[in-house]
Amino acid sequence: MVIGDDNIPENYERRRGVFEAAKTNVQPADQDENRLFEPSPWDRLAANVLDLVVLWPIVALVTAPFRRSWVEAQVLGAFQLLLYSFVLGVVVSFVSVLAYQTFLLKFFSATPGKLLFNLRVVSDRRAGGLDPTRLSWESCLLRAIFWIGDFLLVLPLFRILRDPKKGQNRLLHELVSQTFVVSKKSRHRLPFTLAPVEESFFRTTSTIILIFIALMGANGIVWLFSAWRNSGRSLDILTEENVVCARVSEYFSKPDVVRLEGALTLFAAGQINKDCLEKEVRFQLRRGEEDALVYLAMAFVYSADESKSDRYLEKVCEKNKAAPACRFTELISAWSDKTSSIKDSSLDDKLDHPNDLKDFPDYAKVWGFRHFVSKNKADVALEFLSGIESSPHLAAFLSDAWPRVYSKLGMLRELSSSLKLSLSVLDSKAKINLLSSLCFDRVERGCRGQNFCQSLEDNVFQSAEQSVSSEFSVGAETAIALIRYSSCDPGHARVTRWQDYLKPEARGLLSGVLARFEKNEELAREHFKRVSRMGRLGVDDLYLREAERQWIELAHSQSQLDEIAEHLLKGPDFMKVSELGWLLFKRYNTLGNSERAQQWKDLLESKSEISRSPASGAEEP
Amino acid sequence: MIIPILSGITQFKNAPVTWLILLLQVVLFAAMEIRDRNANENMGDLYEDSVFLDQQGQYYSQFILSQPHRYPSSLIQGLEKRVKEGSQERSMYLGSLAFRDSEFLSQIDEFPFKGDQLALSEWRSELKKNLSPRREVAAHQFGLSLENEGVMSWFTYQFVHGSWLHLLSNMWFLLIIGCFLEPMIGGLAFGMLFLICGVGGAIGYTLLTGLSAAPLIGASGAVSGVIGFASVLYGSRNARFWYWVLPHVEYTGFVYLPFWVLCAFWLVSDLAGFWSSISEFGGIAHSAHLGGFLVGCLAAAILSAKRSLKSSYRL
Repeated sequence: MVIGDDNIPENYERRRGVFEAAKTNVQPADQDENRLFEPSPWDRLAANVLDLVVLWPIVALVTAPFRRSWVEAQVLGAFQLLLYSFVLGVVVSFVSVLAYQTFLLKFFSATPGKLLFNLRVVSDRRAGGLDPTRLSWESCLLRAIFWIGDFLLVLPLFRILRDPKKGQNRLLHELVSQTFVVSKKSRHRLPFTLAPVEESFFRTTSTIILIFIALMGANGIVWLFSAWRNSGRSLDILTEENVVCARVSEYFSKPDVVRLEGALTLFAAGQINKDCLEKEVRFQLRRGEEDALVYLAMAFVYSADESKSDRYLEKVCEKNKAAPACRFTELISAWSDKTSSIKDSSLDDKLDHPNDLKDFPDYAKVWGFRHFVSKNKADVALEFLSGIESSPHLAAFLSDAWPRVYSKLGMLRELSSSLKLSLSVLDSKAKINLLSSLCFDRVERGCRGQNFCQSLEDNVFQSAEQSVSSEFSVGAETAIALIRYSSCDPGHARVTRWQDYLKPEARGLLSGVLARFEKNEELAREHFKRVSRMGRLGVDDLYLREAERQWIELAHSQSQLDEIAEHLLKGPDFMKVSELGWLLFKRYNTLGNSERAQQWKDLLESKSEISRSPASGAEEP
Repeated sequence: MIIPILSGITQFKNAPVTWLILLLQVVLFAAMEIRDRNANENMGDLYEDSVFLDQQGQYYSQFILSQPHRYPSSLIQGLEKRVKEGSQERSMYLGSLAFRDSEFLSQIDEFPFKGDQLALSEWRSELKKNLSPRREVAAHQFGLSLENEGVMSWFTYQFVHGSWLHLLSNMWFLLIIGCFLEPMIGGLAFGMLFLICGVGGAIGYTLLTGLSAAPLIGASGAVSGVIGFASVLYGSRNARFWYWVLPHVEYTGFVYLPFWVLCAFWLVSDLAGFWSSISEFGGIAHSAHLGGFLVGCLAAAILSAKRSLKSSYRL
């Protein structure tokens, strides 16, 4: 709001007079001219604020070169330049504030802020009272030095909190320089009285200042030490700045291409995610590296964008046909059925039983292993795994992979010996995951009354008890395997034992299955319904699909199937339930409601192309 | 807080040219904002795209390395070195600075950049896609830059602003100084003074900072010149300032200070800004302020000398 002339405060003329007086160094005409009053703490605060306004451009001007080099040092991350700029900037600021205060106090007994608010600084050295004459150079300098200290501690701000009846509590700069601030006009109409110098106050203030200086100093030393420690170790800094992947830095301390190869291997082994790999490959690009491996890594980074990923894969061999990365690219193209990019027809022979695996880098072997495990070709997977040399960054992967592949191949003796080694290497969470997975792999194979995994189970529970309980919760796949095969568990002794380690949704599913075994179909239906309705709470899809599958199997009437159909159609993603849709269609047919079955079939076919080729477990009649 | 508030600034008849300049600036800014909105938004997105800037930084560092004599600045050389070490943050800094280098921008097709060639072709097409509309936005069309350094741009740049805040701050000072000065020197003289000081700002910027692909825009050089002019001719006259020290009526009000106080603050702030800022980063063009200020002072000195010559001749 712009204040017009009519709204000028009534004290304006007086202030103007003060300013004019200050300008000409002439005392304003006032009837109380010769009397000194205690200054209002607000006046003093306001004077400080005004002094800051005046000081700001001065300090900005004299410190300009140091501020420039400070910014430059920050941009470059140059520690020494940063330190010099900071120290010199602080010193120059300190000296300019000191000069400002000292000269103005000496020649005007006040700073511009004080002049505006009619305040003066006087000495109390003269016996018997205040000395209204000029201050000595010594007093001015001491006052200026300690004023900076008091100001940095924002102590002047606390004056406004004091009790006005108790007289003026002087701060350290006033005590040391033996000066007082007085007002040439009265605000409170209280005659000024000399407050005694309080020893306790002086001690308290000094202690606070010393503690503050000590804390600031300690903080500064810690900062300097950490900056010095990091100054020569750019890779560490880059790890701290999250520019390179910290997980990769654990194993690779040099910023070379071997590091990227290691990152690719870790990525293939599932030890790092795509973001992590992207950081590594971008780091190499920034360093000017450009070879087949970089393009290969980029292809993985962009794996979600198939066309882009393919273009990167094409670049791999364009750069260097003889590079291992190129051969690996040909392999993965073949595995992905992209035969068009395979130039070497003899490569087909290498796919399932590679003879020259030793020429392949580790990432290719790890990738091959995982590919064949997923294809249930454990024997080929074992060949790939055998080719991988043990190294620290692959310890966790190998410890997990060996027992799994032995288990798949039914090599129980090897499984037992490798498991012993793995359990000594893996952390508790990985250990439990491996054990529970192996356990149910065994259960799956040894169902119908045989109990292969008693000792494995014992190990799982032992590990679970040793680990922090909140960390342990069996994975969804394991839980589903347990639930599906609970029929192999007479008396449900095993599932009851596992129950404590299941998530609520898995527990609900299990309760439904158990109720179903006990022929309590109503209760079972309730359990399945409840789990399937947890879908909106971010529950793993595996549980929902299983609960819905069981629910459909339990439906024996038209109304029950309609209820399920309605629930499935309300689901967030119709595509996800196509498999269940076909199951429902089958149930409608079984119940003899061909009209509804046809409607449901039409709906499924119109909703999705996928529905034309139903997944296993729900065959199209 | 202390702000100069002179009497009569709300009256059009006191300073019609000042008000006309202000209205013209506001209308032009609004029109250009509406016209360039999409292009500005697209460019804004590009300036904030960290992956793009990172890539651009890598290519720019190769460009710098190929011709180090063109980049004597220790900052640029240092950044190039840090990018080579793999620093992403510095690569992004360098990527941002690349937008100011016309030479680099003109050679993006010819220069043999190394690195991810697929990303390179994407970067090239992305950059080109955004560079063409960039040339059409007001700042590049009328601002003073290496791509647009004709004499006309020395005048047109004064009528382009980057944001409402930029416009508001310049117009506030124009209004205050214009309403103080125009009644004394006349509307036509004030308008001429404004334009000449703007040219002074352009010269100051060209000499002290140097032109780049990033354009110089805004009326602050002209406003600085007007302030310089007023400070030389009418420095001892009192100007009204509104101050606000503490949230209490006792500490809020008006104070009359000689006009040179405002000029001193303005000059000191600009000098401090000029010496502390890194020209490669852009921001406030303090050199244009200083150039305008100097031209304003010179104009006042010439006028003052002419007046004294006239009065002595009459004697």
